[in-house]
Amino acid sequence: MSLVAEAFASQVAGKVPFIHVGNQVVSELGPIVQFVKAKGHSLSDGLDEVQKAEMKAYMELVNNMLLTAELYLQWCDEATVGEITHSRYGYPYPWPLNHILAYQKQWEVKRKMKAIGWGNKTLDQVLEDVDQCCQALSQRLGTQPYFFNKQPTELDALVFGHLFTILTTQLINDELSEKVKNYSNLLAFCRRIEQNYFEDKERVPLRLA
Amino acid sequence: MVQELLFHQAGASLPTPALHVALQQQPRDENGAGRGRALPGYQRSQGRQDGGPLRAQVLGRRLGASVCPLRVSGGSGDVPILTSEDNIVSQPAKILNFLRKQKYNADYQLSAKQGADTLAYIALLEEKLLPAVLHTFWVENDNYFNVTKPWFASRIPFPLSLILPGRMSKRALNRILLTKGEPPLYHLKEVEAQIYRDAKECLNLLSNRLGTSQFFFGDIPTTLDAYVFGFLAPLYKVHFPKVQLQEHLKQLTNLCRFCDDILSCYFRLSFAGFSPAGQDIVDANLQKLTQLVNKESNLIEKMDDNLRQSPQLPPRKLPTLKLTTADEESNSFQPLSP
Repeated sequence: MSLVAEAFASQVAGKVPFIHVGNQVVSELGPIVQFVKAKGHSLSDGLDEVQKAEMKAYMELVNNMLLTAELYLQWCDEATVGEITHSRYGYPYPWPLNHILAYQKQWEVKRKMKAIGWGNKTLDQVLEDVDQCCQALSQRLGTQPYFFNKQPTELDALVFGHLFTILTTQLINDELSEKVKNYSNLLAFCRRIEQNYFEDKERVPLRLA
Repeated sequence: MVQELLFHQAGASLPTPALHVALQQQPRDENGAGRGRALPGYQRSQGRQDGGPLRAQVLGRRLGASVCPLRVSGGSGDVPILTSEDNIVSQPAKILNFLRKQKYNADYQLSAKQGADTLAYIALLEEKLLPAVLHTFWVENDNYFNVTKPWFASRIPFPLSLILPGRMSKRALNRILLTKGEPPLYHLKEVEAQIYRDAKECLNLLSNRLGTSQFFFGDIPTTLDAYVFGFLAPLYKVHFPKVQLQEHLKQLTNLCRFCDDILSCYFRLSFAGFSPAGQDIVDANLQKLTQLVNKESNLIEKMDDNLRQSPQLPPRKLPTLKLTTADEESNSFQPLSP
């Protein structure tokens, strides 16, 4: 799918990630998981109650820390906003819509940050939070191939999604990806999933130079 | 989030507490008919309504620091506040860091994986349970106007008592809508349904995780226990008109038992219904009474001594002695007359 078409489709769905199945569009992780479950596939069937609770808790941790940090870096850090985010976000739209929508999105994100208490955080504090989160994930993963030993679950998918994005997106400063690179088992984890599930050559390979 | 550290016994040694935990006391609301009684020392938070002050108070108890009533802190307006000598530390994250630097750490014995679990569960609480708790306290009209607002307003001096509760309510609503009210949920009602569903699920997960053990990681309380207690205790104990989340919590007996355990261990004095300030007054009265009794007994002893001494004087002095004895007696009786 070309970039423009993807952007258009994401506007229809309202949120990324989304899947387009037949004539249905399902967006966001929660509904996608439920949709797939309704079709008869579920990754977390083999877990008991306590493990499911743990999985949910870790997914919330990732959402809380990593997602918010990514949003912060993209929209609240002035340097990044000016150089990268505005142009990337406004790309599909003609002038002046690209500017207006970008500013509107920035205002929305800043409002949300303020509501949850991240409005006054400096970039260093945010990076420290990311570090803490990665440390927790790294400790949970340990030496296992996946978070719940042999089989990948939704948590693995979520973590992979975030870490891969962080590692492969070019930003002005590389501090965020440096924080992740400190944890070798997380890197190995990302590599492993990439090799197992994303064999096709079109993908941007994980450059860990 | 509110942070509180339950001091770990075997870990660092406890120096003389220079730590003076300044918290706000919640006196019993005269009209409240014991609304706050079951929950001792519920502190109002001028900053964010998130159970933090309760946790800070448990911390204070554990460290043996004196908990004193605090005037309205004009400073940052943030509770919980930890005052130590010259430092004033105001936010939960900073309080935790500060205490860690002083070598107080409740998670000393946890393994790395358990530490990671703590972070994850705290994130779960913040995401799933906090919106519903905020809603129950601050947004639900019945609860807000009948319970929360009078409670808080009774402790805030006059001009602010009109403004602050309203502001906190708006802030809570804002937070809920901004974090949860994304499309396709546009209406507050739908958001409400979603957040209560999430909160009930979260409570179920916590109950599953706690199981039958006393605390979340065995027998020793840790930071996670403090966090969970800070969220659950107000929900459990405060009497609300609209109680759906409270009902759900009461069905999870192990969580209720968990709250009661901590309340009885760490809030023993207050649990009987006295606020610590009240207890101090009782102590002062007791002291005064003891002093009076001691004074009286001293006087009686002196009198006894005088009486005993008088017959031991040599007999030839008896005639004069009688006089003196009488004098002495009359003298010794004098203090008793008034």
